Amino acid sequence: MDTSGLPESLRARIAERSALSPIDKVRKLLHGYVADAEDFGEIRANLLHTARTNDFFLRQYLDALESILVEPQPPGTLLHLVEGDANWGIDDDQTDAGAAVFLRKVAELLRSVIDEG
Amino acid sequence: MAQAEHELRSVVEQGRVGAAHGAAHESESGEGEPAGTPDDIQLQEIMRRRELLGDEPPKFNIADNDDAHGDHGAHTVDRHGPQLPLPRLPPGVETKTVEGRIYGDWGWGKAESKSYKWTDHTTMNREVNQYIQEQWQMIRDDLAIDGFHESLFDAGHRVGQGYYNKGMYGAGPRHAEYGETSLVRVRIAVVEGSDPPVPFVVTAYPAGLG
Repeated sequence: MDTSGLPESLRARIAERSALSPIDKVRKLLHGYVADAEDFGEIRANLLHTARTNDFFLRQYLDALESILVEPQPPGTLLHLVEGDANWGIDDDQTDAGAAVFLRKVAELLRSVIDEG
Repeated sequence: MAQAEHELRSVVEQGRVGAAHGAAHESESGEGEPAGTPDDIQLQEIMRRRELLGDEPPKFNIADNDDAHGDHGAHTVDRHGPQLPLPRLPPGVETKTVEGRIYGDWGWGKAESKSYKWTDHTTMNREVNQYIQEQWQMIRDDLAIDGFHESLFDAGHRVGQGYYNKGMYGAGPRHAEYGETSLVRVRIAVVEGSDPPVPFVVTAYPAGLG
């Protein structure tokens, strides 16, 4: 999206959010769409609500999520994302591997919502 | 700024980003209005939403907001309202509690690491409205872009009470520990299909740090 014609505050806001690191984009995704949800149905509804307006940032979040799942992260990073940022207990496997399972489910859901649009 | 605003109004009226900025677009038929690219249309919609959201920040009564927009996902009072009992209740009692959310008790869909409620309705309404008042330009831009804004702010004083899981991150078994917080996470969206766009508070709740 060529933002050069937008009013300055809009252009700057898009640039600022687009410049976040992948891990910070994943945090934005989790804080905005996962943390207060009760189940994956609610996460899906939250994502769809935005996607129906504009999936510009959702696509960035998906790229960021896929990249942190592919590239090795410092120990504890994925677990902190899930139990901290997503505020989701994963007692059955409270490890980075367990967290990766959860985050892959979120990525699949996000991809399906984007593809639906 | 005046020039930019003139161009914005011109774009909203003409509906052609390309024309407003001198770029040429050939329509396929070679006559009439040039067709906008999907990007142009997206930009036009963003600017239109921003214009219609206006300079004046909206004010909310959170309980009324939840009543009006519960079907769109508004749930602050239901999940974080001051009326929620703090400590867990015996099994079989069908009442949501703040501590119960740490364990996924009755009324909750999952077990959380942090669960807080507002101290009182006055604080809840004051803090959320003050945040929206102070940050409206940024909120407005986010709502214009994709109809959604989320942020965490520090109220600077105690606004919430609740619990966190002492066993977070593998520290031990799940165990709720009492805590208080000055942090607030707020999520604002636009009612789907509303024109002009109608903002509403999806949820605003005292939050713990990750």
